[in-house]
Amino acid sequence: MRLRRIEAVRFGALEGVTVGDLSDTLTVVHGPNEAGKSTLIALVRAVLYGFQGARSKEPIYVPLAGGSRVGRLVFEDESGQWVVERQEGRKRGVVTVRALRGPDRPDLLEEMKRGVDENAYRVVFGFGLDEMAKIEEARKDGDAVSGALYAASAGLRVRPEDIRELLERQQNELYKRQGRTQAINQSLEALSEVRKRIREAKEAGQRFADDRQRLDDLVREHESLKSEAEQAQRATQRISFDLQRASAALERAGSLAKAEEEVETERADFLAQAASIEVDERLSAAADAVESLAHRLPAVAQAAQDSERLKERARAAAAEFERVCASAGLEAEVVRSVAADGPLAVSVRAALEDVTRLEAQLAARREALQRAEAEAERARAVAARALEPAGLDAVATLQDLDRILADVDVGEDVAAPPRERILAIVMVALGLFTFFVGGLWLKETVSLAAGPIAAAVGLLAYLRQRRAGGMAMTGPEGSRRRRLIDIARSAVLGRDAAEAEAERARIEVGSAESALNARKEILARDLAAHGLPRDLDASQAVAALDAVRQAQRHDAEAQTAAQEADRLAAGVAAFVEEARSVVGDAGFARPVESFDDAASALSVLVERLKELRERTERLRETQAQVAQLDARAAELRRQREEAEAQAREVLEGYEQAYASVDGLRALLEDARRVEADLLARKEQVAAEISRLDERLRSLGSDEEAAQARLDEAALVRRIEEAAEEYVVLALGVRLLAAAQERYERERQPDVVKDAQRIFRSITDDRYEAVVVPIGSGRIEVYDRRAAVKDSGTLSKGTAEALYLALRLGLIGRLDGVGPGLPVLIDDVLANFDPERLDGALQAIAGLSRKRQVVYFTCHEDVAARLASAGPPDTVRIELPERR
Amino acid sequence: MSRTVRFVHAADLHLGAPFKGVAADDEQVRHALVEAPYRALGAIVDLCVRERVDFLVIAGDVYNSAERPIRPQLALMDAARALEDVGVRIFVAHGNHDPAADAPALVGLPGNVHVFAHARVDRVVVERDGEPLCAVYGRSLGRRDVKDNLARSFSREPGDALAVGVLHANVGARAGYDDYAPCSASDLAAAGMDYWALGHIHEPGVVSETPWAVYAGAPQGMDPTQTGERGCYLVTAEPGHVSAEFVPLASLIWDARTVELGEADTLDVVEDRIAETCAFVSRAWGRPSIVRLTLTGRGEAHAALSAAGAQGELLARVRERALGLDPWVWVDRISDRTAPAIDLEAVRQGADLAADIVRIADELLADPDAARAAIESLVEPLSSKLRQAGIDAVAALDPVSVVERARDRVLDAVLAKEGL
Repeated sequence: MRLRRIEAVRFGALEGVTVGDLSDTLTVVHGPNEAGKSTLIALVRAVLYGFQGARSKEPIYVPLAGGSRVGRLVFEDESGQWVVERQEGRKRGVVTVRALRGPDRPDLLEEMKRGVDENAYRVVFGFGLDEMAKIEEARKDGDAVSGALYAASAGLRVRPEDIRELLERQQNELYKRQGRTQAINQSLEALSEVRKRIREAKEAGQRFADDRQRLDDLVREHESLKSEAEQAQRATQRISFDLQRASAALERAGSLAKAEEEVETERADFLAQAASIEVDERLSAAADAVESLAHRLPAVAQAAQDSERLKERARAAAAEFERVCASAGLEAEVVRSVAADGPLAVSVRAALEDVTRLEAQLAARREALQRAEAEAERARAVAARALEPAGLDAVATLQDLDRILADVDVGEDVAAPPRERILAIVMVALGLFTFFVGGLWLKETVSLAAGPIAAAVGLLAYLRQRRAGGMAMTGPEGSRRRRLIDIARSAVLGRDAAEAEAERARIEVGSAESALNARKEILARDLAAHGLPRDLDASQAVAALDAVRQAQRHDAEAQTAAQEADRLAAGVAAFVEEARSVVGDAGFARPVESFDDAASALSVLVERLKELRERTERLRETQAQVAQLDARAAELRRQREEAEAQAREVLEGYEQAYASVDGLRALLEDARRVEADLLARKEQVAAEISRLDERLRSLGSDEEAAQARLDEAALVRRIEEAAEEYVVLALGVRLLAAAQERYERERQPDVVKDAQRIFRSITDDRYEAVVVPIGSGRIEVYDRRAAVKDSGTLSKGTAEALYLALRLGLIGRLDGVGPGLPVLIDDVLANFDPERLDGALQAIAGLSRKRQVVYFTCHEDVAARLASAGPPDTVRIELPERR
Repeated sequence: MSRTVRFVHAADLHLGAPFKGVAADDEQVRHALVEAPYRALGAIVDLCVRERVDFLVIAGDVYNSAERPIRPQLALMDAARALEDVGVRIFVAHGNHDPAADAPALVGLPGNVHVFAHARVDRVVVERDGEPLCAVYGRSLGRRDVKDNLARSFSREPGDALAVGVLHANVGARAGYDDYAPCSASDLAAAGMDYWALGHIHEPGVVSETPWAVYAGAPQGMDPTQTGERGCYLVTAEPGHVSAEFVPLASLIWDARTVELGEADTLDVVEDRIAETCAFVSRAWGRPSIVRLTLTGRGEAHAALSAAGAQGELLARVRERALGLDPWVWVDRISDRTAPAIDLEAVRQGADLAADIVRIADELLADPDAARAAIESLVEPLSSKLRQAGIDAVAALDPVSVVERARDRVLDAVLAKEGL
């Protein structure tokens, strides 16, 4: 890593100043005084380690043009180029590393100055006359010089003094011989205190033994006192109990005697009260009968009312009976004798039905008769018109026609009976059947009448047809005549048939009328047989029977009501009789003739009876209370005697002097006093036992000793740990010192050897040796005469040559330390004489071959000679004079 | 009548013992520490009651100190009364911590307690239903530094159906323990006992099975070195046959764990690793535990732990987290034995200050005696001061560890200064 450019953006007098490109080996920067050479060296140090603060004793390089301080360094190696910029900010400024080329390397700055702190840098890498002078000022203090040298020679990584100081500080925090605040010292002091506590705890053992003896004595005394106190307490309790018993018994006896008197007084009052209550003995004797009558009274009253109401109802029913009989026109006796709902009623209802049916039948037959007669009349007209051409009158018969026809048609005979004959025969048969079956066999009245009629009608018809069959004629006239006759015959047949039909209808009407009449006659006979008028038709008979029934109901009701009224009236009369007797028995002088009398008398008696009961109850209660008072008085007497006996029993258990309540009271006071004394003593002893016990428990718990022992253990542990740490630290210091001593002895000579070579070169061998005695902190030089000189006795120029030689020797041995740091030298050769100057320039040029060197000078001669002495790539840069 | 005898063998209760080497700042932890020996005694009593044993044997060091503070005596008295109520006898032998000659009896013990004499061997016959069941032989230490072989004074009497010997002694010159009442296993065998109830060694263990010789160990670990389970033995014996079963009783477990930090590079990761270890300890024991942690490994964690105040802060944080576990864990100490994330060999090959430091440390590590001498001379004023306080801290240090830590500490500082 090489420093390629230095850029002062704003730093002190410099603003916008750039120095570069710097050589990889030696760069000589020449400029007049005040050109800013020292400022540039300070800038490099500031960018590397930070700006100086306002309170620093060092120059702080405030920009003259104002603004904050900013500086940049451009580094470069084979892999890239980076700008390290520091800008004034928090702490000592803010650093940024920016890659101009190559990878980012944010840790570049730390890598470059690794192992070199600011002070080491100032001493070894970036120094000018000021730093030389400071070493000069400090060289009287051998440690400072040797320390700086050792720090550098040990690799500049660490100052052994710093480590030693750190370890010793830690060591001293643990222990100091006369210290008080150190951990071990404090723990030892605490340990002493704890052990004191432990001793005290041990001494508590003897106190424990004494206390325990005392406790045992007290416990025994307490037990004794406890026993005595218990005895005293028992005695006190016994006396107190007896006193209470005796006092209570006597007191109770007095109270009981007083109660007895009060009971007697109360008893006398009740007796007087009982004597003043009067009781009606007759009423009392009749009480049950009176109550019985009074209880029955409402029912009897109801019966009396019902009797009257029934009588009225009987009278009304009788009147209604009479009215119905009169209305029906029947005698009362007849009405009462008719069984309205017996066979008569059945017969009447059957007659009504038969008559109704027969009348309907009769009406229907009459209507049929009218139609048959009308038809017969028409047939007769037709026959008259048919008979007329035949020369026959209208009344000609079939026989007339048959004769005519027979005249006409000789020899013709009628072969077969006509249809009318068959019909006449059927009618005869039917009439006979009706007569025999319906009339005779079934006893049907109508059949008896209708059967013969029908049979007679049939027979008559048959005879007519037989007669008409002889009037027939023959020949053309006969034929015509026959045809006329046939026509007439048909008409006559029609007429005869119609007339026959009319006749038959007439017969049926007669039959129906006969049947109806026969039925009415039957009804009339039945009515007469029961005493009823026989002229009543069926409907009237029904109505008469209804009237009979209604009248019979009224008659029965009248009789029933009259009977019930009589029965009730008899009961009422009996009650009145009974009441009369009871009233008399109860000593109530009042006549009882009627139910109202009886009711009134009973009402009075009931009221009297109520009063009697109340008095009787009061009397009974009074007597009961008297009985209770008697019992109570007896009980009080018994209790009083018992209480007196108890008191005597208690008191007899004591001496004569105390055998009274007052005596017992005095005795109790004495016993209580004794008990209180014992208890007080017992309490005292118990309290002392408690205190002792507490103390013994405290001692016995060993808590204090245990805690103290734990504290002791903890403290010893801490002390042991701290001591171990102390030993480690002490040995660490010792190891560090041994290593330092070994380094001084074994490695420092290499540095000194290089310094010696350079010093000899600078002084042109006027001084031959440089020696740093081990552990002395001094630097000694030997001249040609082997005279030894301490660095403190050298001239200023020689001393500066020595320190330069030592620096160059050191830097030459620092291969891995501060790998990116160039050596910046600020005109340190000002005090060198020409001979030494040449040697110094050669030495610096030689160093530049190992590490980059930038030499600032205002001397043209030095610049030129150094540039010519340097490697081929030496660069010379001219700084312009600042205006 | 059964001839089987059951008894509990306990020892080294060290009632009233201070817990050495622990710094318990938390009240809960302090309380647990104070109560732990008493809880152990209570657990022994509970075991006796639960198992209905015939007797309890305590083979020395009931108390931690000859002074026998009050509470330990009261505790023993309470335990004895509790066992008296259920008819269990107690046989007590004094040990080097509570020798019989220095025994101020502040508290009387009930009649079921038999304390063995120190001038001779006591023989007590345990009976059951009026019949002899077992003979218990025992002898207390009369003073702290008994150098006599007391085992040789024991001799079984003819006719004993069973014989139990009780002694506080160092059998076989066990390292790490004072060689009081020294004896050998053959001395024990010569006495003819069926069972030797031994005390003095705090780790439970069987010395021999012919005859049975057993160290009950302390029922409660008393310091950070007494890690792991602690308890007593439940012994079942009948003529010709003995068996002993270890019964864990400690209410508080001491533990020591190494936490390999490896790739851990930041304090939060370190804290999580430690928290995981504490959670494991909590789960593993199932009881409150006090654990010492040693951080090991080479890596970036070393630098993180070396930062000022880092370890103190870390300890506070992990303590808080570990106390939040159920059951809780108290982180007693975190020892940083990590190494910086540097190649020591590479540093050693260098030519700078760090290389010189490493090489000088190597020279000291090659000769630990010289290292110890160098260390002692370096801190003599402090050592002297500490010795006055009865603390011999420096002499107890491991010089190799100290040199390594000092080397690493300086290297840390150097490297930190260098910005590496």
